[in-house]
Amino acid sequence: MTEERRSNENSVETDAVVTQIYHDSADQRAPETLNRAILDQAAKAARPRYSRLISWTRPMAWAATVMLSVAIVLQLTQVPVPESESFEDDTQAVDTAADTPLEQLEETVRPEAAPGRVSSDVSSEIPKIEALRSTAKQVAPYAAAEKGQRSDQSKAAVLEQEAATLGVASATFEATGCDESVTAAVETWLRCIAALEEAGLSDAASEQRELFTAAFPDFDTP
Amino acid sequence: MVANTQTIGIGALPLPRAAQLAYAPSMDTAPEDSALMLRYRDGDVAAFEALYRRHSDALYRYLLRLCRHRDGAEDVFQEVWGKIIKARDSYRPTAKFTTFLYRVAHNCFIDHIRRNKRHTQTADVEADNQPDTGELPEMQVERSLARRRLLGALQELPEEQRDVFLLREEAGLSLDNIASITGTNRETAKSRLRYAVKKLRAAIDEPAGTS
Repeated sequence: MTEERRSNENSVETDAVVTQIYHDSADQRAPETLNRAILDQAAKAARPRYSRLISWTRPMAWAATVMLSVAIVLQLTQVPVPESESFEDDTQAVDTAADTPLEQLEETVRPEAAPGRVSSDVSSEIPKIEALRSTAKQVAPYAAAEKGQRSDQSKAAVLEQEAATLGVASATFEATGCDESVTAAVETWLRCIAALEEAGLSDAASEQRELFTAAFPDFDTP
Repeated sequence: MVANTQTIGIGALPLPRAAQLAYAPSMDTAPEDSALMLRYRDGDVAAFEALYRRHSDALYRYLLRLCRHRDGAEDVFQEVWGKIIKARDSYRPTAKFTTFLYRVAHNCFIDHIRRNKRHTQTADVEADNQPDTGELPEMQVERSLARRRLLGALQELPEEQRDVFLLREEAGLSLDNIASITGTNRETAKSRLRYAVKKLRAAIDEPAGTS
């Protein structure tokens, strides 16, 4: 009943003539430029949410990446050498021992032995030295393989240096024979003998060999 | 345009059940305004375009006749649609979309009046030329004269009466909705509408030569 009354009231408030004439004149339309602007605005506003998300997550991701990189670099540069590298240090020491001349090893084992003095117990020390040297040489390839960082260039340089040292020694032996400084150590004396033989000075070599045998009767000369 | 709106948003992605219910077509072939707005809320721009095409011209005329100034009307028109776009996330289809739209438009118009006094300037909205309807020349002249008188009288109406009349004629709103939009009670809206119609009818019925 109320709805019906309201409907009647609504119809009372309208005038068909006024309505018709008004709508005859109501032909204005929204300008197309305005339509375009509003529709563009609507399209822009309705773009997927993730584009808005990306607008701030992308810089944040970059910032996080840069921060992590800086942190890692600082960590790598400031942290002390880890314990895993101690094995490398050990192998390096062994490798160094393998490269050390025998006379230095002798001094290491027997520091009280003065150069030029032939001790009576040298022959007893020689097997120890030889054992140490052979152990060092056996370990050396493994150490080198473990390190894996020594360049061929540096190896070549080391070999070249050794060869030069040996060459100088041979020339010295040829010129001076085996003097006291050479005969003080077993190794250098044997090298001197070998150098004399290589140089073709067999008489001098055999003479030195006899002297060596007399000094070290228990040592098996090669 | 109706055919266009029917095909909008029938995409490959399945919709959730709540959205399916909201988008469910009514007995009419055209989707409800609320359904279009909900689809736009979910990112369907074509739904908004359909909604806009459905209401833009009537809203434009409402604001044009209310503001009586084309530039002001266009400013308010753009502001209204901007607010509708911004309000899409919070939109709830609790009332007719038309009521919602014209409430926003009415409020924007009030703000526009407060912001500047342009609406007090002389009206620059001229009567548009009417297309040839095949009527006799005398009848065409008579109708044209009636239109001119009506539009002239409409410009002369008090703002409140003009607002109520335009809400009635352009938006097709009921007295209850008009009262709700204008912030008055139903009787006040009814009274304003009655006075407006009476004045307009009197202007149309004026004897020739008096205008």
